[in-house]
Amino acid sequence: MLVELKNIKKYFPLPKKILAARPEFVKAVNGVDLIIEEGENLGLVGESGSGKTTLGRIILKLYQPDAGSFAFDGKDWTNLSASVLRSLRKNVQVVFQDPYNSLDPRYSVDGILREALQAQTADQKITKAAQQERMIEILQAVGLGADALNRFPHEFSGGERQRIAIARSLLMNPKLLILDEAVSSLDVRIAAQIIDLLKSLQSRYNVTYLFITHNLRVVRKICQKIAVMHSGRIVELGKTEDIFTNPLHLYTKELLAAALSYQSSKKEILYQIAENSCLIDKGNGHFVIK
Amino acid sequence: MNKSALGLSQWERALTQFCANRFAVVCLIILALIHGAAIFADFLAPYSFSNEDRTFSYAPPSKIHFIDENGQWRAPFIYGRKITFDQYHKREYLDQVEQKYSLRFFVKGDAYKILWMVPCSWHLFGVKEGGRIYLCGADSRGRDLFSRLLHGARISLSIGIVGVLISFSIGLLVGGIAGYYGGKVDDILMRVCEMFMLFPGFYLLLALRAVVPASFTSVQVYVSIIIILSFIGWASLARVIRGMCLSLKEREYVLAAKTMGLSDLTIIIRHILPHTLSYSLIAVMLSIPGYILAESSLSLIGLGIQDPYASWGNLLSEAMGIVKIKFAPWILLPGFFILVTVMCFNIVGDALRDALDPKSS
Ligand SMILES: Nc1ncnc2c1ncn2[C@@H]1O[C@H](COP(=O)(O)OP(=O)(O)OP(=O)(O)O)[C@@H](O)[C@H]1O
Ligand SMILES: [Mg+2]
Repeated sequence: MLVELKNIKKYFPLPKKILAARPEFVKAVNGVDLIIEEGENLGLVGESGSGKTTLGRIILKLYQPDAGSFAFDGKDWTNLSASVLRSLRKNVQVVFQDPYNSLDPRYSVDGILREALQAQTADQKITKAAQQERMIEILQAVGLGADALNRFPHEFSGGERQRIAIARSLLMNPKLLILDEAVSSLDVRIAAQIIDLLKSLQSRYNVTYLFITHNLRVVRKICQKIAVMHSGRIVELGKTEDIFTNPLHLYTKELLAAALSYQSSKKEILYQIAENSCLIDKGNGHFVIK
Repeated sequence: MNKSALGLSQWERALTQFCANRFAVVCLIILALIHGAAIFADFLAPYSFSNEDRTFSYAPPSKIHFIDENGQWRAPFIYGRKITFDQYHKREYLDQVEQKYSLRFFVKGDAYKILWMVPCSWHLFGVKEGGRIYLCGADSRGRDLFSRLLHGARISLSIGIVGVLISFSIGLLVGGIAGYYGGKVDDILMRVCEMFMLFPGFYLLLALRAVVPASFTSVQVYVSIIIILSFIGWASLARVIRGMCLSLKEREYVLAAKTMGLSDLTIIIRHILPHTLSYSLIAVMLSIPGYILAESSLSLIGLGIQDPYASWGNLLSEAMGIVKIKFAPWILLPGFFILVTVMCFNIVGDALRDALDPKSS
């Protein structure tokens, strides 16, 4: 098991109202159990505000969960000291949605990649030439030329920037790469190219993807499993084909309909999920919330 | 870590972009000249700021001649002047053809100290004892306005720069702490800032000035004016820096750097501070004029730098009165210098903003 989450919760305080007796919270993640196996890409889908990013950031250790436990690669990661955490961090990397914000505009691609490389090889001596070689190698792997090194992020298109961000995260040799809406801001064709690229890189870099998106279509090609998230809970979890051919939860069906027909549903359905409800096994690794 | 200063080429790029703006470059050169002149005021000015000759009250600017009364070329010289009174008892200065003072370079004159250390009495130019050269005319007490302008530049410009640096340090510190820690600390510090920003600046300036004892020496007044100005100015800077830190620490490249296991210090130095740096530089450039103007207004109404010391503000206070302006229009020159300096700072600040923001191109 690469990632094991048990009953993870993360609440954010809302701005306090003047007369409110006690502060209110957004239950961004409200009791999530999730397992990610090595080499088995997981798609995390759900509408905006369902808590996908928050869950991703908990796995990235950018947020400390309010409750629950989190193990990575068999080690407990729930509470780590700052120094231990820093040394373990490179195992989980991230590519964000906004390609304009994920690269520091002040540094050239050379600087951006070199920083990652130096962080990754902090304890080894590595020559300038070897660094250069690795940076060019990774740039070519993501489909860019060596001439990209001397250019700055704002000189690239969104898709190219996303490739640079992928190159940077793969330089860290992560075990898990979280792609938080990584292709959502790109047009359909470029998004498909990036997905193909990620697929081709997977075996070479021996990495597992956690693909966060609100669009079911993009995960079908690359994910073996899909988890559907709604208001901080996982409502359905199963193999990609099972989810697509036999969705069990009403919300999943709704998402599928939206993804396949581009039609937004007219009716607003309120999905009531009881606090104490839990995922039940429907066989063949397919779970749905009761 | 990587010493090759990854951001360098970014600065080079900003520099080229800045240089492309010719107007701003001209302004920068003007600023450099004015500041250079202020630093070497003692040497460049023919007289000290307090050297007076009351017979030359409001003497108009001396004309420098190259051709004498016989139509012959000779080295530059000025005529001596005789004072007469017209029917309204207004002074009139008449050139005395028989008295000629040639303009000399590197002459000995009023003693001063180079950069407040090495005693010296050389001046760039001057005339022989007995004559007085007034490049920009004289003030009511017959002091050379040109010399006083240079000495005044020292005080006015240094108040602007030192004031902005002090208030910026406070602003950076307070804003950084508030933005970085957030929560209660942020709340308290920001309320304090707002308290400062609530008062109209000029009234606060006057109120604080009123607290300064009248017995203060000129140097003490100078220092207290700097302190008062910084005291008023830091709050707005602190608020902006705080806002920047709040949003900068949530930037995705900062989060990405965090997940790469970089230390907080590295992240702050490489991914947060550089992004406030360009703002800081611009803010400094654009707020210096405010300090210069504040000092000028304070001195203009007699609450700033006191005579005989010169600042552009108290030089301009001589120009209060339409009669004086009518008969000695050169006393408006300090206002011109204030105008040019403030304008140059603003133009350079704006050009800097354009150059340092890569997206603006
Ligand atoms: N740092 C934060 N402070 C306060 N509230 C937050 C914070 N981050 C997220 N939230 C809230 O938590 C909820 C879940 O947010 P999250 O970003 O995880 O959703 P998401 O599923 O990623 O949505 P999207 O598809 O729009 O990215 C939202 O209601 C959001 O307003
Ligand atoms: Mg999100």
